[in-house]
Amino acid sequence: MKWARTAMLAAGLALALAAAMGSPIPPSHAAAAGTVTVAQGAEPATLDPLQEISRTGYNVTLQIYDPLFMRNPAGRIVPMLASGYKIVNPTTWQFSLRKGVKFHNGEPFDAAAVKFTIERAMLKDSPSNYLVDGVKSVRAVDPYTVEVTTADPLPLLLPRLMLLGIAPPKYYQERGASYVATHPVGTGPYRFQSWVKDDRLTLTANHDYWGGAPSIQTVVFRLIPDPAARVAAFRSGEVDLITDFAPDLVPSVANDPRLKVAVTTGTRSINIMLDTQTGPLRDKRVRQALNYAVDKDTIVKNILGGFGTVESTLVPAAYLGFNPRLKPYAYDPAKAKALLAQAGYPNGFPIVFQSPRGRYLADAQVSQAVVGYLKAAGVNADLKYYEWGNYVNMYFKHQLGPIFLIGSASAALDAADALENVSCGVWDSWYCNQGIQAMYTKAIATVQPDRRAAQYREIQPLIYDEAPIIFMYAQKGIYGVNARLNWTPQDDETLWLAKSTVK
Amino acid sequence: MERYVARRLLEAVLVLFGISAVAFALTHVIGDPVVLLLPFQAGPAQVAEMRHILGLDRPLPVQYLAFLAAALHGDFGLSVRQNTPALGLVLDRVPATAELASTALVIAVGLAVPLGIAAALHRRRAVDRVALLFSMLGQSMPTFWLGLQAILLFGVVLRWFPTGGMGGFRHLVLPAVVLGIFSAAGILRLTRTSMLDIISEDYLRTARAKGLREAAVVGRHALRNASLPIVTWIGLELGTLLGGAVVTETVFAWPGMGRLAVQAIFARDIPVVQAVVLFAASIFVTATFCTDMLYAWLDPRIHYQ
Repeated sequence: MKWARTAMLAAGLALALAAAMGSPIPPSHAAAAGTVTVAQGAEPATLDPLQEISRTGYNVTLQIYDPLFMRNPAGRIVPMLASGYKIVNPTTWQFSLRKGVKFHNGEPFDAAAVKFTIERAMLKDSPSNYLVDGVKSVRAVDPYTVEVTTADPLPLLLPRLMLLGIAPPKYYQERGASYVATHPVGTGPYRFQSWVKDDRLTLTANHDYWGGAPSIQTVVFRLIPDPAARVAAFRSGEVDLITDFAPDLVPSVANDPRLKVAVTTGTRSINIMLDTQTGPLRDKRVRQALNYAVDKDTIVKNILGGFGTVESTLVPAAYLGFNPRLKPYAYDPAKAKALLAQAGYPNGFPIVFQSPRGRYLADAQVSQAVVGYLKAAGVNADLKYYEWGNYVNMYFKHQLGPIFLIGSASAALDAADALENVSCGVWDSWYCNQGIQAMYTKAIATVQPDRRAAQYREIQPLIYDEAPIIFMYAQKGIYGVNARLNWTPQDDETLWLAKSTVK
Repeated sequence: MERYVARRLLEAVLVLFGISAVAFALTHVIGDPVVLLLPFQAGPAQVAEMRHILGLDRPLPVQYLAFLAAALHGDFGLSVRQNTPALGLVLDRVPATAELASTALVIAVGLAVPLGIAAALHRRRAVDRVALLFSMLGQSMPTFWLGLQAILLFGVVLRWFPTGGMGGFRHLVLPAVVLGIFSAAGILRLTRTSMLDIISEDYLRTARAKGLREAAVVGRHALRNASLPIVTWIGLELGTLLGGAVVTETVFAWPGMGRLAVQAIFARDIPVVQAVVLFAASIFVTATFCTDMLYAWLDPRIHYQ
């Protein structure tokens, strides 16, 4: 009996050891020739390009799937699977398609694939629905021409299609969508090789790529959720490229010539929304006072480590229609107090200020700083933090306010998406001015990009003066790039490796 | 003995039912999964449509009964985010978590039990002081901090081990040691206290008096009698570790269950949250049950009603 017990304990220990040692040992990918490793803080939920709508997800899926158009590093729209487009009338677009392109499984790319992809995105339960919102129908005119009809003029169709990877219809029908979600097949520069969920995703170069075979043979996307651990992996040389570099860790790589930090101007605009329909915030002078009261430069410099661009309105510089002539509200506490006094609030007023904690870069600290500045101006803001899930729920139901912090980004990089937050009759706006609304409605129906941009630029000074928001800053995109990798970030945050090289 | 086993089994099942109710209730108060699933640009109509498709517009009791019936068949539904069966996602993470948990526990036990015994035998001497210091540091240092320091020293500066991810044995070392140190702290303290309780007992003096070697006195008489609480503790620790070590898994990018649970909670992926909670609870309940059985078996003196 005694020996039985000892034997059992020993067997248990042996079992535990065996479990520890007996795991398969996959080959190490670190620094292999022709291999580039990218680390991100999140991985795609699925590799079905229509189901995955996060930036970290697009960074992976757009290596495998080509969209119809893309932006080049200079920001110009370039044809990809489309060879060109024609606007037949304001609600009808005709796309001519590239010939001779094949999916990775050999299935030919043609009008049927485009029709299939857009129609699948149009399904009500498709997360990609927002990309084709307003599209009425898709028709294959001939094997290499597709006609898209929209309900109203839809100028944003083109930039939004840049996030829609074209999928092979026959493959979907044969294998089913849930199989495709883990075995993606596109026309893109990289083919899918393997995916160890929650760990790494491996792609190999598509040597038959219509745009020329990529120089980098293997791309590994690793998931490293902890920002400090991601920077550590970058510093050790295990990974060549990291996204969402923690700003406070940037100094840790400053003295290493092998490691570079690359930044974009930022497409995510962080702002303090004001409910202009209630209380003191109905008065324009009060809203202007709040803009003068907050030292945005100091917030960006001290809290964001300089990795933000102070904005004059809520339209970031990377968007079509940005007005470069406007200068951000200066920090002027005396003027703020004077404006408050003029509006009849010489002693300020109490108000509720809501903020998420942990969703955006240093959001909690930024809110705290803003509340401090408001208090200095006499506005006694009561700061309340919320967990993101509840916060976004309240945002959606229009329950936030009267003052709250929120971020917004336009996938299409078009000022229309930003200006929607100050337009009339929509759930995500807390402001309405009929005069501005008329200009906005006209602008967003203008298909020609230059003329649309000109109209956006006319709207911004009015929004600036009306101050329906405490305009804050655009969060810069920060990347860590190993010097052996030749890659530059794009302002639209596209991470495309087909044209990159390694030393 | 049979009645004892039966009663413990019944209790385990009841606990699982309770947990299923709590898991269900909790996941319905933490927020709406639909608004996180869709982008900001989506309108309220699209949200309502999605809610209907996911069955979230039905009354809560109906949703619970449907959930329970399906869960008994191992069906937790499809992950809202990943569109694949939720339980499958959980089971995929089991090998990684088991590998980390078992290695960490082996390290913890291998470190803590001998050190705890030595500390008790040499009370208030240097080895005892070192052991107590280790135990205090091990439990008070946050694992994320210790993990990051280990990564910086052994991964970035010395480059002995990879900074994270799963792979061969070298990938396992840092996370297992960090997690093991944390577990060891508690086991060490308990081993020391249990041994101290036993060491002054009369039968040990008798054993020594009749001329037994010290190793036999400690190993056969003292440790055997001190082992009951230690075994219980280790059993519970194994149950906890197998549920996923959230912080260690996150810092070391280890693809285990703990991280899956956190991701699912942030994404309001209700089916996955429920699957992972119930799975981890089952593991814990099973580990507790096995510990109880082992306890009864190790200590034949006690008769259970």
